[in-house]
Amino acid sequence: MHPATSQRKAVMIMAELLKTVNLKKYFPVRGGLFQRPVAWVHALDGVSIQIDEGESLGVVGESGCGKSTLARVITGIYDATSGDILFKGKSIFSKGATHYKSIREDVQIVFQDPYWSLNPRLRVMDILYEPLENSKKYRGVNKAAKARELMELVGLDPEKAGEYPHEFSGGQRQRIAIARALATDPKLLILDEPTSAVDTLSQAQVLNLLADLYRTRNVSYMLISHDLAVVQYICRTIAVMYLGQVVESGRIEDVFENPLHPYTMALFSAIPSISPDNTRERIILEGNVPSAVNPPKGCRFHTRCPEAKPECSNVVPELKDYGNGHSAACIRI
Amino acid sequence: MENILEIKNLKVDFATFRGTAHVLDIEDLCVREGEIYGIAGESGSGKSILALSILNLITPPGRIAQGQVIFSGRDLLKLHPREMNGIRGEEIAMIFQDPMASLNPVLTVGQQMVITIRQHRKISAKEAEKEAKRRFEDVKLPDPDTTFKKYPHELSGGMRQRVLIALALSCGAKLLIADEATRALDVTIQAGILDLLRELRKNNGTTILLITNSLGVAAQMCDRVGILYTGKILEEAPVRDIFKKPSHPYTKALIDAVPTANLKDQRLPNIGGFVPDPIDLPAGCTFGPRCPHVMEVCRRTKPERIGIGPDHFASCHLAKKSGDDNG
Repeated sequence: MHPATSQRKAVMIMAELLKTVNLKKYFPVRGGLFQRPVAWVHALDGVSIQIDEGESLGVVGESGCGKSTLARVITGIYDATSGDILFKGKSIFSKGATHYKSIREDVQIVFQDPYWSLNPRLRVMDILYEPLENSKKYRGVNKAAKARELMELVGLDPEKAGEYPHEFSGGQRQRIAIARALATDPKLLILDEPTSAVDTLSQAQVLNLLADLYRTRNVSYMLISHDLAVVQYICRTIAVMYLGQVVESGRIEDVFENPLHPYTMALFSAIPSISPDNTRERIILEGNVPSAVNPPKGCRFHTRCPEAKPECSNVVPELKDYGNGHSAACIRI
Repeated sequence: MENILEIKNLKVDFATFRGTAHVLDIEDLCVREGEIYGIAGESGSGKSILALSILNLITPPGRIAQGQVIFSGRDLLKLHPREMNGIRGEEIAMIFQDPMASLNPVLTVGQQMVITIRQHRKISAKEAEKEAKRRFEDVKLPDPDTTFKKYPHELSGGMRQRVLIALALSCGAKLLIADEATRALDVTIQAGILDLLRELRKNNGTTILLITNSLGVAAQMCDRVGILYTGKILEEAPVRDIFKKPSHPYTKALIDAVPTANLKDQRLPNIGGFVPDPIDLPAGCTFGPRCPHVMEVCRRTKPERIGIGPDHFASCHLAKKSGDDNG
């Protein structure tokens, strides 16, 4: 291979786009006469993830595991309590508000429910143009033309740019939300449960669109979903979260074929397969997800873990690499 | 096995300002004793209306226009309201999607159990409490004595759903209608509830009508599955046949639309269009406008329900009657 080619390839693989370092987000539980914080919800407790350029990371876990909080901290909807977020190697907190604002164009989000995330009083073209209004780069862009271009991109009829969101079906609304997220030509698209509010047939269309955009545009994905089939279909890497922490991550084929963490195994075994002959053994987890206000000591999963040992309640397991970037946090492995 | 429930020519309409919405049109649906029958369909297909009409709970502007719901030999739609109240809970019980909305927030779950049990049986409060705790054990609620004193908001989603199942079974219902009972739950919690339902069927012989929008849940739970679209059952078959040999184009489209890892880098089949407006349903086959194999006859004539195999029915002009293949 030509040395320059191999070097470029190496650079392409290594180019890190977004990285979180020991990210924490605690929400206060207020009480008492002066509504002072009396306790803290540990929504994110030391999350370190990395998304390379052109990669697609799936974040999975049960509700309350912090996956949506992670999306919201990365997009600046919530402030981080501590930790750092690096975008293209630079901390987004370092240069103050202006730099923080400049990555807004590069990191966009699509929310779960397109019935809530689109302003019902704006026409589609206004919805699509809104992200551009704050951007110097797009000053003077023709609004109608841009809207048409974006609608064509997501497979909607550009003639409908003057209509309001309620005139579209759920699947179409999600396309509008995706088009709006793509308006500023972002490098990273965060998809927070993008298909959980739409029907099976519309879901197939939205997934096709996401797969097409991923192939044709220079965009990386962070896909948050509780539907592992969707993650398996779209993503190339995966991070499994439990109670505000990443318990396992790696290439999607490694993690699915050889899950290391007992929680990942239980989670995968619980997905109902559409093959009625499936005889896979189900691991039923006992009890409920513990409260994030007082997370269990030691390994957070030990209260429900079918293979927990006495030391699991004392020792905090670290995320260790078991080869090929496949890491898990469990002392048993 | 005998049929515990038979629905014949059931039609449910809703009067709206724009016209009459035809939301349910079930030609023939039988649930056999001891089986888990699954109704699978997308939102708006009429799944919940079907559940409500079995219990005769359709309220204006909706009305049951015609049809029969025969349960253990009696037509439920012709019963006196007082008789019907005796059936609800005692013989047919229902669990709903959102357990928080179905439980009373100002009473402890134990009080609600006792009230329900004493509504149907003449026993003392003490005995009812014992009975309630026994039911809590049946649904594997941890520590029944403590749970008994808790309010719904103190319980997690999975536990609330277990309380609802305990309530539903507290009077020994023979038929349990589960309307999207696990939709609001996480997969790991869902797996536990589904396991519980399977066990109840096995141990108590409870017949379950499982309404779901998840094909995965239907595949893992049911003996037979009916596919609902625009209020009509387009295909009905034993679970293996539905998933291995789907005959209706809509069933095929639904199954193909489920993403899997082997499909990576392949496009999912694309069925365009939308679920039609129930006020203005297309003539002929209601799936016709979206069907990839639509023919001229589909636009004019409503397809009949025909048997294409043992227990396998489809309403499609393309479906062949069993035996036709060779002749």
